[in-house]
Amino acid sequence: MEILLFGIIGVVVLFSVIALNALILVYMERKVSAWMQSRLGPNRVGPFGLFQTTADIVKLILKENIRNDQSDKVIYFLAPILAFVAPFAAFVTVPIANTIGIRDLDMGAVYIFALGSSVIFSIIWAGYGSNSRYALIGAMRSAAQMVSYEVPMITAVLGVFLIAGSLSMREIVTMQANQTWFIVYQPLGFILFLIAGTAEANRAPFDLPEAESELVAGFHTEYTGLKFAFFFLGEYAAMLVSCCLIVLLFLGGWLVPFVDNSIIPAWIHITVFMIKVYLMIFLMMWFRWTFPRMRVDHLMGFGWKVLLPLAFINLVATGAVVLILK
Amino acid sequence: MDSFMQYFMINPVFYIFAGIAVLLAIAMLTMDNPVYSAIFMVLTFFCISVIYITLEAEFIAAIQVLVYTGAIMVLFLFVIMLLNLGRESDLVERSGPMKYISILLAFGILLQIGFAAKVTFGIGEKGMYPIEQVRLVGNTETIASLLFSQYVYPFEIASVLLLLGMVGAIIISKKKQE
Amino acid sequence: MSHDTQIKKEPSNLSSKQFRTDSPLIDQIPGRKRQILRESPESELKMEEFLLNVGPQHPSTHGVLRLVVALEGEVIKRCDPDLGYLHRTFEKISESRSYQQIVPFTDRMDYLGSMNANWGVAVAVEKLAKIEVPERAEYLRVIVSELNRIASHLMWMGAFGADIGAVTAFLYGFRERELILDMFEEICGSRLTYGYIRVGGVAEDITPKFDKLVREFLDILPAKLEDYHNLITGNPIFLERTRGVGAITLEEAISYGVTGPMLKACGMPWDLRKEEPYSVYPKFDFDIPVYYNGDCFDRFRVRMDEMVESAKIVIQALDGLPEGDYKVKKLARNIKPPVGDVYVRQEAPRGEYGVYMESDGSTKPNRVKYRTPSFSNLSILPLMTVGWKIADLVAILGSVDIVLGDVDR
Repeated sequence: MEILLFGIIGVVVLFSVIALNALILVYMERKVSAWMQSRLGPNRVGPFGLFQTTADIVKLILKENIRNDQSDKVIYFLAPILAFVAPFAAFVTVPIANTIGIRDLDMGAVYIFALGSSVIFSIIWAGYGSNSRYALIGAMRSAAQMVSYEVPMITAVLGVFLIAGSLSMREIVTMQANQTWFIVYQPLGFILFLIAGTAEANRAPFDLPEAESELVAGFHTEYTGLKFAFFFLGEYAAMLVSCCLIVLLFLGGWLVPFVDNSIIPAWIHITVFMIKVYLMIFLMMWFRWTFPRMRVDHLMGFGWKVLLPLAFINLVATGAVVLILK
Repeated sequence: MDSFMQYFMINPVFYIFAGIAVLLAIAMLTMDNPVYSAIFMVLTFFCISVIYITLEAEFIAAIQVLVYTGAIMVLFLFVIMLLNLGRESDLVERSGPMKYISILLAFGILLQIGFAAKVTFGIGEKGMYPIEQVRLVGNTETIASLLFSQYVYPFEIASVLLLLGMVGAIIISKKKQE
Repeated sequence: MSHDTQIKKEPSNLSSKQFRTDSPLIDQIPGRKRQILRESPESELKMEEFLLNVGPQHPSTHGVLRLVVALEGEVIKRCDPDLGYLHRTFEKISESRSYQQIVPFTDRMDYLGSMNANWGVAVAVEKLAKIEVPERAEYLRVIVSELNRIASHLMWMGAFGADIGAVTAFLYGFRERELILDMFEEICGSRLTYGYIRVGGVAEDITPKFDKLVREFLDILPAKLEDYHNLITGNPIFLERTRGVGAITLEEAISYGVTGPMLKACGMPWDLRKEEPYSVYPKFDFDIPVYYNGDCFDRFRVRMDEMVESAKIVIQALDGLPEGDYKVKKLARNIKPPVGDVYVRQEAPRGEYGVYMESDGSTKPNRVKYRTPSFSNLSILPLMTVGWKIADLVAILGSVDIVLGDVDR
């Protein structure tokens, strides 16, 4: 009974954190893009336009649900739910401070990757279920993209696991407290993981599944209202997961640099963690608003011919060094 | 029936998910639409991974999802959509003598499984790696050390086989282009 | 789900059937005419042609262009442009208006290069009616049309960036274009459809403020162009997306009647300002940028360089602006040119812009025909896109720099 109660509280807290985070991220994305494009961004609704995203969410919820006649009802309905649930579930094993986190799993990293990989289904289902050609092309692109970028992403991060000797997020961060941040040992791994993580979260310059100028809106072309909002929420949640992973695996998680972390209170750890995560998110937004979109064959070539060999070199070199030092 | 309830109470999650997995597998086989079949297959894999979790084999559960659903089934769906088999029932063959032979075979296999289940229904003997021992060193470590010591040859042979398949596929597709 | 609105539409899943390949693609779209031929079972599992309807409502067709594209995977097999969604009968309506009244229609044709569009008609009428235009007016025409060329290319650069996925470039292009629009607002009160160049001269003389705005803008333009080159030209993704993409040879370009920056990108420095100098262009010192690959990247570079050359012309014209009238003082309200015809061609931002006008001696022209650069340049699109990816289609279409008002008229 206690477990059940704890679970329900955890889910509610998690949901509100992610929903709130999505609101903040949408606002942030608009302000960042406006700043980079010498615009003002939202500034009408509330102070500094802070409630603009809230107003948008209300609009999306109230919007009429339009579904085209030839779409596949069940699949069309399931896709946005999965798009949101998978990254949401991935958060279960993300710790935000030494003692704070919903559950630390023995193989937390693999769990996150597993859930991250099931996001593809939502995109494929959306593409198939909405029975639109733009959506179908978007879905096929994303299937190819996600399968290809998962391989270098996981290979790149294996170096970290080798050094840490664990797959548990909490232990990996503890290892970084004892030694130093893993970005120092794994600079190549960090860059590869950042690139592959951006691709995995479908962010520009790898946003081919929803390439606006080519495919209108890609896999969610036919979605409106609340269902569209779920895709939106899911995308930002996936971005948050990606950035949390980068911070936890390479940037020392909640650790404050150059101080003894055992005496620092938890709330500072949480703040530091959030700052790091938001800096990484800012980096991803920076990518998005400065890079052109890649073409699909260049993208595949880049993944298989550049990222993967580099990731393997990184893995073998790390393995050799770890073996020698043992 | 009494004994079944006993077992059920010991591990309800297993029986629930095992039942769902069987139902989903049946649904997968009976669907006309290959996309639906693929989706039910994905769900079946999820159920199986839950069963792995009840066995505290969390690593295998995660790998099951990562590899089977995240990679293999995506490729399945990819091929289905690429060939646009979608809502066509052309591929479904419903007649012919093969149907009766396959029913017979399926029935035989079912009987065999039932027999096996009757004999070993319940908690079996402990294997070489009981959960207490796994807990001691950790899930991932146990699998890794087994995979790279005792089972290194099967492991390598499997990977070479997969590589062969990949090379073969590339050769076939390249030949067609010429 | 109960309150879902259902939109009835034709099943789009017909791509699995083999369509006839000899009829135009348009006819093969479900709903128009359906040609379904069963193929033999062994070809059932091969990758089949996939018809994609791009436009008329699509973010990257620059208006209401419709393209029917036959895909194999992501590769384009054929591409059929379907025009006419913005047809407004400008040629016919020009024939039922007096000569001065034609000018405002041309604003609505090439709305990004209105000054040039006005100019062609004005010159055609002046040639027919043998009207001498004051020299100051010619200088002013050169200034505004070259400024308009810069504005058009800036906007093109932004739109091309957006097509390729660099959305930020779009806003940058607009930011600088805004300054030019401010200048035009200063002299004619209008920001898009100017009607500034009229039969017999220009509408208003320039103001000191206009002069100041132009000089300020020309001062900052090189730095801004440098910015664009840093943002776009140096980006490896941009180079990969444009280099070699949609390349055409010079022979192909000429045989399709391609003009303007697209022709210059193929290695031919053909520019009517140099080849058939009109107005006061011979007095100015400027170069024609030329590149040799004929791909999207070279079209981009030609346009970027043309902005620099146009800036040169503007500053020379502004410095050498003669005193005098800005329009013919006495002009009949209803011009009655003698019987005859004339063909005027000029270098608009998009290429050769031609006006054919035939007079029967009355107050209205007997026949008017516009030769618009966007239309001719678009005609080579089916040739350029075959074999490229769907993502390249957008890049190639963007590099053509079409204005749908100019295509459909």
